[in-house]
Amino acid sequence: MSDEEALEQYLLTQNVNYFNLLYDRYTNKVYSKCISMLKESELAEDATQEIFVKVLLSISKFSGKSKFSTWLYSVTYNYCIDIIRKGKKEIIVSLEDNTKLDLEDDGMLDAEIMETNVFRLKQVLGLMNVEDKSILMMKYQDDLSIKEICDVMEKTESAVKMKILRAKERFLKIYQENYSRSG
Amino acid sequence: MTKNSFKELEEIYIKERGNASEKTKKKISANIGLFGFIGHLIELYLPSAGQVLKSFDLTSPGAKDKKQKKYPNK
Repeated sequence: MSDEEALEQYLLTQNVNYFNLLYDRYTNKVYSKCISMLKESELAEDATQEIFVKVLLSISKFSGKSKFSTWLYSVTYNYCIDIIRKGKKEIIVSLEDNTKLDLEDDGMLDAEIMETNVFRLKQVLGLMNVEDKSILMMKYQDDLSIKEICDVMEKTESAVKMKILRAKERFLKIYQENYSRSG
Repeated sequence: MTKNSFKELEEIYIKERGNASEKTKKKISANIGLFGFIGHLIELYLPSAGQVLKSFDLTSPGAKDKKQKKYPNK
């Protein structure tokens, strides 16, 4: 049964089993995003619960224009961004003009970022601001298209492309600052 | 195929989570139950509460006078 069929059946019958099906399918994905963003397992577990309750309460508002997963991720990212902003937990890393990187070879940059050592990836993501981190996760972890990222962030295509480029720049800047000497 | 450390990191977080998802599921079910219960209460008592308020208005002292004063010449 597809996500959309399960959703349709839940709305028709209000049978919780259909919602549980979607929960089982996505709970780990939602949790892993929450822990990546919020860094504490307890906080991430609470956030996962809140996100699914939020989804449940606004399920009738889901228009079906996007995939259910895209909508769920959108709720997840926006929820975590709100939490972080409210708690002012993020560290802003500025990008100076003299550190601008050559972004012509975008594919190579993608490969470089995706092939980062997992331990280092975790460290670098932990030092990034929440918007940059979430946009990189949407692109590399969730495989969202530019159009889908536009829907999640409610931004235009050109704005999203620019944000992705900036996020990649900041990722590599932080990486170089922390690991260039150690190799 | 290109290695994707983002997906590897996701897998690590999921493994570390263990079976906590079941506990969270139970909490969500409890929430659903509570919302359902509140929903039923509203469904059941809101129309009758409306009726009661309406009847208060009709039986309150001066309710007749108010009607009469509105159009005193009629």
